[in-house]
Amino acid sequence: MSILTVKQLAKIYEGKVAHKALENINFSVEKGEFVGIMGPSGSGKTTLLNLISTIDQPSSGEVLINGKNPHKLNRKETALFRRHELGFVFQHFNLLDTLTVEENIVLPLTLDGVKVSEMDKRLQHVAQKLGIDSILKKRAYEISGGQMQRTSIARAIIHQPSLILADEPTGNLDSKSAKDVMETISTINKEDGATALMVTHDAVAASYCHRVIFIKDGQLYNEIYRGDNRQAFFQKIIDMLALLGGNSHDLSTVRL
Amino acid sequence: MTFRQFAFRNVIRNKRTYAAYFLSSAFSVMIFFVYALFIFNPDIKKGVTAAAAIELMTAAEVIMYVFSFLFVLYSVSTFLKSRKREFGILMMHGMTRSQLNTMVFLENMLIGVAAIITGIGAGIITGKLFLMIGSRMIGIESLPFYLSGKALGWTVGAFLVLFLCISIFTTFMVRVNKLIDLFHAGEKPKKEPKVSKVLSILSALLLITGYYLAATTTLQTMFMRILPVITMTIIGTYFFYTQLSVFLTKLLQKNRSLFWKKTNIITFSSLAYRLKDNARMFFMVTIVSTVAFCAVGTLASMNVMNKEFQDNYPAAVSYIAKGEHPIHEKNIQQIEQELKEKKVDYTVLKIPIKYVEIADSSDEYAHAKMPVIAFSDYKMSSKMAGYSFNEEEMTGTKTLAILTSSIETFNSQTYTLKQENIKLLQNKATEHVVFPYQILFSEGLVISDELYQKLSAVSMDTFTGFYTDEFEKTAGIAEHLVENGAAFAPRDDEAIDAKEFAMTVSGTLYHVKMSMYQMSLFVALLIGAVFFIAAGSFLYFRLYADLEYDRRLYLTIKKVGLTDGELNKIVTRQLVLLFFVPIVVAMIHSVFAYMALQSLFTMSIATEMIIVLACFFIAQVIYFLFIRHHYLRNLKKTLI
Repeated sequence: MSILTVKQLAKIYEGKVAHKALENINFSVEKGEFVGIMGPSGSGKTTLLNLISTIDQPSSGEVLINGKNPHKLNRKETALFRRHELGFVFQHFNLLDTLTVEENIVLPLTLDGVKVSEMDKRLQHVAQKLGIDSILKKRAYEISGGQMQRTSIARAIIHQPSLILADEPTGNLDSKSAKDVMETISTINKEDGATALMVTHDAVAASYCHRVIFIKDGQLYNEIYRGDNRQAFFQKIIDMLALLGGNSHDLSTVRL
Repeated sequence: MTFRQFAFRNVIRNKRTYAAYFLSSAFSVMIFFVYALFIFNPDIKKGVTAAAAIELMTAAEVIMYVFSFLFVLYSVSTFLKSRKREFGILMMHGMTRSQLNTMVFLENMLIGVAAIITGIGAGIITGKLFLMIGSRMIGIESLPFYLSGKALGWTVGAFLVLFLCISIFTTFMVRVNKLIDLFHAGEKPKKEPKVSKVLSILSALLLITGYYLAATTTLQTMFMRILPVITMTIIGTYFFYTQLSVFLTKLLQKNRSLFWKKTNIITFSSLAYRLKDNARMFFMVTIVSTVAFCAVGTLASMNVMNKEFQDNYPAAVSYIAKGEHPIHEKNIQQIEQELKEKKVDYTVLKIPIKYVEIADSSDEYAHAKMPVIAFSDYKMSSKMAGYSFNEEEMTGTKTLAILTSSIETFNSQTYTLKQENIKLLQNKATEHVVFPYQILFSEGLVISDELYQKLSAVSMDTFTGFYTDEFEKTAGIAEHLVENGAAFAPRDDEAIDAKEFAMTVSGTLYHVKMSMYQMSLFVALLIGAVFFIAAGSFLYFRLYADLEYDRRLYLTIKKVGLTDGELNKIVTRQLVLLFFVPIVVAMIHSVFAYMALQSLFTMSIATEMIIVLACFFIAQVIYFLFIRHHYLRNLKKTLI
């Protein structure tokens, strides 16, 4: 059963000079699948993710998540749809500074008015899984980048969404933290059967996916599947990126 | 964490952002409450000054309420603007529009209710003190502290309504057009600030014209000019910040030897952005501070009016007897007796006033009868009042208009008397006040002694003046004859007023005037304080909203290599800019307003005005030092 289906999707940015950011995108993601999207800068990766995540409206075509088109819902239904069906992981974490780690994690449940006892139970569960149970009481700005990203993953999965969307989740992390984060997402995907779609620049991060879709100039270019060997998959991704001819800095993440 | 807890934590953990806004609101509530304590104090309703005090304070309450409304509205809208990204995150996690509204509403109400409680608490603690100072100033005996339910009810009710209205209002202000815009708010690179040459020049022109008109105002033109000048200044100020100032910094940036010198490069490059970003805030602070300066300044200038008092009342007690009546003798005897009881040394001067009939005059408002006095009597009266007298002896048909108040002005007039068609020419007024305006209601003339002898009177009045150096001691004399120190003269063709006499008692008048003045000052000072603190709160908020951005900026510069001393220097310069540009502009505005105000006075008000401005300036410097200390500490916490 496919969780996400994208049909004939196109996005044109109106302006003095209309710019086609995406055109004729078709693909689908099956339940339990972990899919990566890659492409050179300006190829339309983030636009695609914004369209799927309902942040932005497509110019034509449709997005179906669990058989529903979120762009056809009214404002309130869209909000509820995001709350129940989607989980987000961002490059810049987007945690709220005023809240503690645990409060950030339970935020989606709070908005839904879930009972406090229920929230606690689920919190303990995800915190243990992500190895952040020791920092739950700290404020969001007091923890390291890797911990922030794991917190934001916890927030993205606590309400058991149908689809987890990640925008460059390792973009702001050092390689050790990036590895931890990718292994976490991979584990959640494996153990809980969570479906995930991730946009990334990082070939190492992409090598954790089951399948990587490549986009160039707003169009689907290719897709490659992972076999049994992650190392071989990584090599294939590197080759593909070289073929795509992005600038050399697109090949690896800038590490701070 | 429930939804309500979430909203509360948003506020409580952000206390640094809201601190100034909260304190400023609480201060407004406190002052409002203190005034209410006065107004509803059961013991205050005695005496005329107290009635005026209540009126004045009620007016003050209204002004403060309206101002608080605008202040809270503006503050809340700026808070909301700075939280766009946060709202974006929440919306991403499925917060519905109505939940967002509820959250904003709860947050506002939390701050509002806390401000009301704090304000009233502080009001109750300091209430006794304010009542003491207030009643001392109004000149009534100290009011007992009485916590009236009405005062409490009014304050709580008024501010609850205020915060409720604004909370509801602001939920409409959170406009979420597109989530993608919300989400990327703040991440967008800042655009180069644009300026229009035309608007820059317009701003300069408006300000210069406004200043010129204000500086050249006279008593006659004041009321005609007051509105256009205010409008011009307000518009000019707005464009000064949004256009002219940015235009000027851009000119500065072109000068490379200045711009590329040491830390100047950092200061100037962010200057244009900062000015443009903060233009509206600067504008608000300038206008609000100008209002505060002008309100306090105007009242402080009334102190000069009191200095002028002695010029307006040559005799400590003036009495004009209309015609012959036995009551006059009785009244005068009584005044003498009361003066003796108070142990006041005095001398008496009697001046006969002749009323002569006028046949024709160049003054169309001239009365049929006109009072005249002899020059020697005028000279005598001036000497006894202790004025230096050096006016020329008068001859022939030349006359002087009788000055009844030092701010009066006269046009030249001619009068033709019925008696022998004598023509009198009046081309200037006496140098000193002869009779206070309260006792002489019509124009009068001082004429030469020989002419005075020649003229026959239609009726005769007699002026009796009691002169003394210690006029303040005469307070309370002849209380049953005068009301608040003055019994107004009946106009001779106005028979309705039954009074046969007119009189003034300087001591009482002075007392009434002084207490009115002190009370107004008391009220104005508190309102000025409310305005000034609100202006400070705008600055504070601006600073903390930009803290995150500044921190990143300074971190970058630090990595390039910047010493602590240099950092302090840059930060101090930026803060000086933020704190003192609006205040200095407000001060310049005020100086020109004071120049216009000066036209109301004969004595210079410069000393009073300098004191007022200096006090505000010192307060601002203290506030600046305090904030600078905290800001630097906060900034360095995260910088290595």
